[in-house]
Amino acid sequence: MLIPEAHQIYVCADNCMRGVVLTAAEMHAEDRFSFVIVEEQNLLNGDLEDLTIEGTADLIRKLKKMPKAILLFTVCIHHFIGCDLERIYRELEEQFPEITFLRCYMDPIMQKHGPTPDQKLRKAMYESLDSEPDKMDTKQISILGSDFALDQSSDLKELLPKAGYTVRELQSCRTWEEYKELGNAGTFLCCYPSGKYGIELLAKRLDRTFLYLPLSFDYEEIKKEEEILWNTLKPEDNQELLPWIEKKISLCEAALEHTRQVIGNTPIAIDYTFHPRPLGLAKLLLTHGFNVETVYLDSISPEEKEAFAWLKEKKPELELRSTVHAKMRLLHEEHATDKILAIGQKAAWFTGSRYFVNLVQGAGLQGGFDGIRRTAELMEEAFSEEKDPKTLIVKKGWGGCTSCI
Amino acid sequence: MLRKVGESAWPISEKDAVVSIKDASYPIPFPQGWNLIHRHMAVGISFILEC
Repeated sequence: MLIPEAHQIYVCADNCMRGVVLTAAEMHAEDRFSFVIVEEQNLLNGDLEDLTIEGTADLIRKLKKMPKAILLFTVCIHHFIGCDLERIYRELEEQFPEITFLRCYMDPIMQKHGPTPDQKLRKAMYESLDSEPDKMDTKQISILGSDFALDQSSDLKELLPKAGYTVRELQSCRTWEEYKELGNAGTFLCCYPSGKYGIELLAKRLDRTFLYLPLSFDYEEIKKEEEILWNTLKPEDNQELLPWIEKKISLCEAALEHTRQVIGNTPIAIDYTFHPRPLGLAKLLLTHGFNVETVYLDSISPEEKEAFAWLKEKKPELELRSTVHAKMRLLHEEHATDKILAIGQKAAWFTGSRYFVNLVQGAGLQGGFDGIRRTAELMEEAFSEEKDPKTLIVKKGWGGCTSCI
Repeated sequence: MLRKVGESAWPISEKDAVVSIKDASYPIPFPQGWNLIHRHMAVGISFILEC
């Protein structure tokens, strides 16, 4: 939905379609989303390719405005029955040569290795970027890979212009042409783990500099990342980075101390949807005197291995709770008995807390030290203002649903 | 007697769904059963967001 003038088409059965349709509806993006329903007969008759091609073509002809790009999602069932996906895309591209078809795969079932659908989607989103050699701008940096634009106060948005660079992001593109200009950057920068796979391939394909500066809650790691960035950019007037970093760290320390005084010993629960580094956040908070009791996650990212080892040793009683285990459907609270600060929507749902930080995927916080300072501010706000989770958390997964999903 | 899914006559044990970090394994902290869901080994989250 982030690509301007693009339209999404999902080809799948009713069961999976339910979630996808509800997502589009909750985003108020119904006019940019269409679907083709696969029925049992399409599997038995072996005509899934024809259904996908004809269904998609029919939908495109019925659209009020011809989109510049179609994100065509095929799903698990296409793979199960060995569907000829190349034929599907080839025939559609022949029928609609003016449209760019992006190959999107929603195929999570039984896939145990290789890139995930999320990683593949983030790759597909940038596959139509290219650039003529004379249009490449070495002073332009495109920050790609995340669903969210960085906060204006983020370190990157402060540092890059300081070094004489123009920053472009997908979220600020209003037209297809603006989107295509993202490809002119001399450097592609990614901060979000799921985006790394696609953006690195993009940089390789266009022969550009690639920087991966993952979001972090560790001062030393952020410092190293920003030094790499600074050395790569080579700012013209040799500005010193270290004093700037020291100032940023002292701002973080002041913010964390202020928040700790407000929150005190209140139990804190964190979940992985808030930020890809939930254990890193737990470590930061514990080292600053906060009472982190629980982290909701299902597996641990390689980027968190060090934080995991640290927590194992220093906070062995820290509780890890699964979010996808079947028992968790019952192991949650309707209402928290005592005040708990939940960081993330899943933590709010499982603890029943009405005091929660309502943010996913790190949102715009992915920009170095400022992300830490902003997290402290958000925790303080969440602790002070009661919220109704039912009006804020996405409804498609909320209780009461009889679907098997 | 038939019972609606979600209703339980006995307390649900936390075994296998909750673990202290000192007892947790890496990269998957919980005992693994048969699971249809693709775990994001590269990025550390289970994949259920889009479908």
